[in-house]
Amino acid sequence: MINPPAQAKLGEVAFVFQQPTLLPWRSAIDNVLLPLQLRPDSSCADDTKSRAKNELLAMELREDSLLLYPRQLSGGMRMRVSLARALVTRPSVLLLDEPFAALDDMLRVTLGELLLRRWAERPFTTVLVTHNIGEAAMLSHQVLVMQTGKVIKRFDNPLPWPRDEIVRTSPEFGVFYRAVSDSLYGEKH
Amino acid sequence: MSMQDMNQRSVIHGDSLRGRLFELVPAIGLTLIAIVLWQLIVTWFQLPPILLPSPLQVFHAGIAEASVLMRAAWITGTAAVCGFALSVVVGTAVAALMSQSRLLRLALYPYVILLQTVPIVAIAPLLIIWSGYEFRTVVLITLVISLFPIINSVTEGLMAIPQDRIELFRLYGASKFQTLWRLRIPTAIRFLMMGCKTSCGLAVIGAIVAEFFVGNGGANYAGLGTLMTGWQTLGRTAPLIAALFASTLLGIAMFAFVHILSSTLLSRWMNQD
Repeated sequence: MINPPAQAKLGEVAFVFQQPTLLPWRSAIDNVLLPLQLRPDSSCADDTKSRAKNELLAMELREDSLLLYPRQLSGGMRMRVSLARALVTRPSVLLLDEPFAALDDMLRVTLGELLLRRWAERPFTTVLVTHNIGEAAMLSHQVLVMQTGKVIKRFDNPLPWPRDEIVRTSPEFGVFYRAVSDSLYGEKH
Repeated sequence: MSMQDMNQRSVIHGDSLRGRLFELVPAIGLTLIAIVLWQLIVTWFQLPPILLPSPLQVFHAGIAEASVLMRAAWITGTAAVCGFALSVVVGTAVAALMSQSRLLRLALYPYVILLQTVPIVAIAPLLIIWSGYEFRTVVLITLVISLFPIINSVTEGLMAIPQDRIELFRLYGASKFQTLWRLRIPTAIRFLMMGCKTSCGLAVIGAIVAEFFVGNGGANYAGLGTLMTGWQTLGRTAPLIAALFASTLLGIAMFAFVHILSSTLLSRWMNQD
């Protein structure tokens, strides 16, 4: 997702950690409100509240979960809140540090799709660090394969947009997956 | 901990009211045994009441002096609560200051330790010279004695913030004050409550010790501590022991209050790092 090109100013970068890193004393919606409250120009409270709410609903969190505290949420729901918190600031650059690593495969795919949908609505540049080749193939324009801290191979992702179920099950996906995998593990696998 | 785990827990430990009452039985049983033993010792050795009155004599003394004891407990309780409340305010403020700058931390911490190591009984006469045989002196001594656990635990709480949360705040360009108000203080509340549990017990001790000294000045002040020193000089051991029980109850009441307050405040934090 390198489109549009990165032109981030301070405060336009959002980050999603490996862990949801939610504040345990704040409800889901209050956690999403946090970055807006920390801004010096925090606009009127009603507006920010509805923004936080919409962001959570876009992450498919149920309306009756908005006031729950992190300990009452499942791991997947916490990560949805964490993503909503990153996106609520409408960042131009989103940095994702293995955000789905702790989730099961179905959730991983679902959250990836949600992220793509948000990106389609309002594009932002994303750098996603992942160990999951399928995830990299599904979410990217470009894949950089790194080994011991160095970029060893660079791929332009040939898969068509939008990236949906059809793309994921297509032969092209398999071919691209194989190419990335080979560069990572060597061709004998 | 998931709901399932919690249900499991309640089955094992019996969180129901009946289960909890049942858990009190051994402790109450021990008390009853101790009272019976006490009575037997007094009877067998024919101890004079001035040395050790029987439980029944103490009970009667407690009834006879009930109104005096209640008034005294009220005064001591008020002093303890005031001193404790002040120690929470002052302790939190000092801890907040120390968390904000390394320089301040280096400058203040040795004195915080000093506060802990100086025997408070040694300061009490001095404070009386400065402040007089007054209620406010009792509050002051209580403050000094219950301050350390608050400063210590709150400072620890303000400093021990998970690194990823600090990074989160830095990433969103939070100011130092915002980080203090929205991150450090909410995290420290848990630690404050732990400090309060230690401190509230110390506050009652502090108030009573202070009253020992204030009572010696023959001031117009009648807390439990002054009653105790008075009854000691008169050789009235039975009401003296009754006063001892009254001060224990006072300590338990304070602890229970802090405990309930903290579990109410901290219900959101439960089962979360």
